[in-house]
Amino acid sequence: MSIRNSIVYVSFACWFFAAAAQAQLGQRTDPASVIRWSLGGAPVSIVSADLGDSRVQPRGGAMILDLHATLTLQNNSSQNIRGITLAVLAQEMTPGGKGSVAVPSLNVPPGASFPVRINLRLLRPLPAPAGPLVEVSLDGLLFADFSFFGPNRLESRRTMTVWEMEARRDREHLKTLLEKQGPAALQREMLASLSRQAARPHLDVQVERASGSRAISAAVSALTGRNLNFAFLRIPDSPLDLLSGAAQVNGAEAASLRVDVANRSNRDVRYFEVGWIVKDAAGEQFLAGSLPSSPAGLDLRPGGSAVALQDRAYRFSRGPESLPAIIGLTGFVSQVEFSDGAIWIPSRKALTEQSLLGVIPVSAEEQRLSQLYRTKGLQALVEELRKF
Amino acid sequence: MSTLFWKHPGEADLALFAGGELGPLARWRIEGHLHACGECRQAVGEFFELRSRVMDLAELPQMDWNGLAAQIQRRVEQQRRMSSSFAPARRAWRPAWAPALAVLLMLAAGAYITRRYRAPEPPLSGAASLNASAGAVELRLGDRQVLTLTNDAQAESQVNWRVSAGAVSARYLDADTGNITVNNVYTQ
Repeated sequence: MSIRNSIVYVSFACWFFAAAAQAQLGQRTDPASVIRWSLGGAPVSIVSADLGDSRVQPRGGAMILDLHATLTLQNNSSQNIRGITLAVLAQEMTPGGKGSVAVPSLNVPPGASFPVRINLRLLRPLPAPAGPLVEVSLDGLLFADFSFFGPNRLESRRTMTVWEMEARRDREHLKTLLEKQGPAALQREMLASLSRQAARPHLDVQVERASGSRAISAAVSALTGRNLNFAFLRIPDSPLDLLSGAAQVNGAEAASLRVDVANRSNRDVRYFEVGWIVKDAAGEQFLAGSLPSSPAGLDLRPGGSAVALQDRAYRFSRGPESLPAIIGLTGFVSQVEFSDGAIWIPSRKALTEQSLLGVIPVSAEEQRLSQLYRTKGLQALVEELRKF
Repeated sequence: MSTLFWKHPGEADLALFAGGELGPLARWRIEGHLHACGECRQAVGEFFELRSRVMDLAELPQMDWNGLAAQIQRRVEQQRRMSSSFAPARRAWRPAWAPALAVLLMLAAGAYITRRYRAPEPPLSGAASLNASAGAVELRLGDRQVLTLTNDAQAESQVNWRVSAGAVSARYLDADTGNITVNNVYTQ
């Protein structure tokens, strides 16, 4: 055998071993092998899980999962599904680090199927642990009668109930317009809604703890920043009064938010959120976030008071540009949950009277209906409203 | 024969061709060449044969192993008895195999060292932060993106983000499903 032939045979042997190794590696990097779908006896079943161009690839000392999945689920219950939340958990990723994908504003009758799209990118250091890199599980299902199924680890019950209440509020508003003032009024309302959506400032935000590893910058911020008091919008039928509040503001960054509230209703409150609006030096206003009650397990009796605190820093920007300095903060009660599970949200009338419609985002349902109007026209919108 | 097919392919390419491992363009070029070149056809045939032998090794036929062992033992005894005259031993080693063996040993040693002594990735560390933009919501540790949920919206104006305690979310109209979709990432 010549040396030349020997090299060829070695090449062939190497190809053979490389192919075997690649087959083994390929099995590990098959996206389907690193995802676990878990619906936990839910009244929905997976019809199909299309992973599209998902891929798992090692990069440096880490493994990157690019998941582009469309999950088709079937409603096996006897009620229409209004919303679903899927939890995305990566074991040992980071303490408490997790994600979720929710689909509100659904109206899926029994037996029908609906898609849920998940676009996810996950980085795991190597060596990756045995078993799936990521688990997608059901956190909650909300039905048309507000009944709920799921472990609710992400508080999806309350979140989806608020979405559904907003949906009913806004559909009712549009149906009233249609009945009392006709299709032209509905059309005007939709055009106004689309205009508001397009006019809202679209910003980026970064949130991190105001203390801890950023101790130096927090100290600098404390020296250069200033304390800015909240102004409050009084919503007439709100169960809570906002008493006082302030935040540490430095340029386009706000930190250490605090708002004191009093329960003026005759019911116990176990959770509330205060929406906060930022006004920048250019005169632009936008909803910056939501300040939830603290701590968890609140029991705010009638006449009692509580404080909502947040030890986090919020940095706003518009792409690479920083935002003009924050010059004003406005707060309003955006939701209240009573101890019996009932939820209060501001009425449409209150949002209009307090000029909040142009500042806060439209509800998920108004977004869906306005897009339906934009793409399919007024008649399609009218027919959609008649389904409810 | 087209000029494209004049040149003889290398033996490595022929081996890959026999293994079905070539891309469509290279396969087409070699097929064109094989139509007119008997020498290369023969080489490919040999590679096919070699490959099939290697594949056959993976599936051993059902055999009477005890009988086979006894038969081998008998033949060894016969050889011993007949080896009174010193016939020249068959050459078991060919110098041409040395580079091949060396390459295989190097590959095996490299694979073992890589697997055994690869430094583990340092654990993800740094301050946890959440980011929300029109394109995605993401969880970062230090400067590394750990978890990103991408907003597949048709337009930036259709994305509404929301910030709460330890969580950011982005709501958008999904371009594929037509459903409103809300992506959330949490730090606690």
